[in-house]
Amino acid sequence: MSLSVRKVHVARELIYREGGRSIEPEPWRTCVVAAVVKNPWFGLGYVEDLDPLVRECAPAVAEVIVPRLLEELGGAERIEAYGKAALGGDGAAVEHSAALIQTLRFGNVLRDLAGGETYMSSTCKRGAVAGVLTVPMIHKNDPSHRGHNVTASVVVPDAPRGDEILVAVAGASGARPFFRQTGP
Amino acid sequence: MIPELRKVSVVTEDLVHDEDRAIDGGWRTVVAAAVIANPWYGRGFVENLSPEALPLADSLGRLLAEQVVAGLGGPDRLQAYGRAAMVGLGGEIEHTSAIIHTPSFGNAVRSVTGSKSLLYSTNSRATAGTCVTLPGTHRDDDSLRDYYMSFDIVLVDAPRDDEIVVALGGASGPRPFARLGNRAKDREAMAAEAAAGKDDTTGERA
Repeated sequence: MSLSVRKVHVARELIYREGGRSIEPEPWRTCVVAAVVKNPWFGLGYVEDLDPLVRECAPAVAEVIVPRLLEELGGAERIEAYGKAALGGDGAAVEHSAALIQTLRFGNVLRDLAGGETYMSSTCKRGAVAGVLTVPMIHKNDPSHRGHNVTASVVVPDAPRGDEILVAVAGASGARPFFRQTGP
Repeated sequence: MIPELRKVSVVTEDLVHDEDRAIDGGWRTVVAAAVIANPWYGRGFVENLSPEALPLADSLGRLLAEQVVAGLGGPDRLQAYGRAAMVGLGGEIEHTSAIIHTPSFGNAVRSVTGSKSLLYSTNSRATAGTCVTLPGTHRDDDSLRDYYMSFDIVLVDAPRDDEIVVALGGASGPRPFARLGNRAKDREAMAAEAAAGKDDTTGERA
């Protein structure tokens, strides 16, 4: 069993206004890159040892989506915040989604290519086709940067099917526009 | 810069595997959507929409076409396209039509893509998070059945009540594994059936 990718969905946003004000000098950029992959454990019942397929599939899916994220945002130096998420279809255990993104085999691909050092924030859940996949992001080098706690969402209208998992990484060009949260 | 513009969202999909088989070279679709403030929001019934609509049509047509062409990798890579506009609950469907159903919009798009066909479209009103569906046709010849396709995009926070989403989609080629023949073949088969005395063209026996 090797990784089977049905499609790659890339959602890039250029945000020019927020809260009624213009974002200067450049729009704020976010991007989510999601691969629609076949759930490698679909139909196998309860699988105790997920590791063999994690070793095979987790780095493979990261190699599909992480370089694309860098390309879309203009390189590692243009990415200040990052995160990851997985949304399993009806036939997936949440553990299947977690298995694809929660190991170093996946995370290190994003850390290395984006030049990040921190752990990554994430969501893992199960949902219907066209469910909202939400990616929480934090600053790639310092999780205490509160302004870099940002969120990007994406909907793929025909995924994840019952036997699929949507695996995503996301990046943002900077802190939230007009970040002005103060206090401890 | 377009003063009404809040954001531009561009969704690119590379479909590589479908119907249990690999797609040679993949099939790329790009949908670019602009979220703008509805210039007629809160003004009641406005008789003449052109003063606001025409400049927006031109600038949005150009902006969206440039995004779609860039996403596909050049004007020649665009083989099919279509458009749509969705207004928030505080607007009229006519507000969407005013922007996209003008030669200003289509000509701006075609000036970037170098294509010839009219753009098929949908116009709708909905809440934020609703799927916007764009009907697609071939860039130069809208009789080509293999290029009838649809593009979807969902913006989770748009359109707000006072906004309009204007979208343009493009594809790198015909539907993957398109195999529905064409009009000429249909006519030939129907003529043969009629000659054999089993005219099924109306769905009923002749």
